[in-house]
Amino acid sequence: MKDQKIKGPKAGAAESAKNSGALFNDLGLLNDACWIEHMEDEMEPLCRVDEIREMQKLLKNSIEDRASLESLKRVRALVKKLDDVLLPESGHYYDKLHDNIMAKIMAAIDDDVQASMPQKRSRFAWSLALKSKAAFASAGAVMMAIIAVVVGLQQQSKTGGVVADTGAVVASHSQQVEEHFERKLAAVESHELQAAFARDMGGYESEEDFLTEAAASRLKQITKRQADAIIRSLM
Amino acid sequence: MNQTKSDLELVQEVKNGNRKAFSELVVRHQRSLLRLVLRFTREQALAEDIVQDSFLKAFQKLEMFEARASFKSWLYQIAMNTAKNKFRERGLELSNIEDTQLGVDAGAENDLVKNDIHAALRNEIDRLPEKQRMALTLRIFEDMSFKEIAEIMACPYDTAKANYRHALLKLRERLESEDSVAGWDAFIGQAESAWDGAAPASRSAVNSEVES
Repeated sequence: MKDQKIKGPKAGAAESAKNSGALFNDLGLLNDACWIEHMEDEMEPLCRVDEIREMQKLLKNSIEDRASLESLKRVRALVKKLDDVLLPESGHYYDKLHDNIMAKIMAAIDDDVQASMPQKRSRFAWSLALKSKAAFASAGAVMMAIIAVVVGLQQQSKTGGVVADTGAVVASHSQQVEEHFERKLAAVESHELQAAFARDMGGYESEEDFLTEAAASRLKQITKRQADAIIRSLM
Repeated sequence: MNQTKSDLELVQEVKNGNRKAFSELVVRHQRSLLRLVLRFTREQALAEDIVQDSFLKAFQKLEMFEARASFKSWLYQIAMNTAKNKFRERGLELSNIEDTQLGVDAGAENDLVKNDIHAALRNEIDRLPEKQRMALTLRIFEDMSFKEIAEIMACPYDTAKANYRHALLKLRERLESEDSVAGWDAFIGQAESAWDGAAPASRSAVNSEVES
């Protein structure tokens, strides 16, 4: 009885199997893969339209094929019933989870910013060094003029004579002072000073504030020490 | 307000510097992501950790997101990889994660599951290879299309389908085998009775119905 029911549709299926290759297994039953695709309603591209029709026939007439599909459906249903994940229901829980996620993101952003700070500070220190160089050069020019006048007056008072060419003296002194400032500026460009500038920057609100104070400080030091040396060398 | 915006629109806003848009993405997906991760870890603290790290990575890598897949699929993919890495950090091999977790969870599940059938079927699923288990989980529990599964698993569409198919066939084979808990018919009968209180509808019952 059972065989008779199967043989009819199976004969047709076997004919189809010749054309569809792996669609049917050795027993002439439709491949389980096709039944799974049928069950999942995602049949392309394994099963074509004519094959779908054939499957419908099999479902209607073949006990074994029908049982095969039913068993797959049953396994799927059993697995589905294992959906035992219990999620917290409280909205407060998800608010907290959300806050934790955003806090992690913000912390990561802060870390990134801090990690990039030394690089920026280093570049800034270079910028400071260059700007300081300009500030020192300006201060040096002023100093040069003052020292030249002072030295000229001293020489004039010692000899009691008149300086014949005040301009030449000033030019000579200016060159020496310039050379001195060049040496100082070379030192400013050293890594050590750059690092010091970078460290010092923490207490200033802007580059301008820092530059003003740095220039004033350096000018003060140079005035005491270097001006005397220059004057002594000239006397 | 943001509810009217798609995920992709929010992603674009984040890329343009609006961090609040990412906050909205978190609100939208944190629950489903937690559920997904819990399916694989079955440990809430670890799952929360993975969810947080996944969102963080998503934020950090957002510039790399090209919208070829949905944001959700992309996020889930990150979460799956993060989960794998977490397991590795704990010194567990991927192949024995299931066994370890099962051992830990067996006690906890006793509070939720009143019979052995649940644990037996769960055990069969846990014995599946990782990719097959993942495809099965995403398809059956998360109701995802094979396209989405392929995106999350970073594999071709056909591969995702094949993994699911192999998982399902393997489960059926194991449940039908002599070694299964109580044999196919008995198992199905017990399971359906336990869960539904309904009369068992076994394979033979189907056959007899057709034959009659």
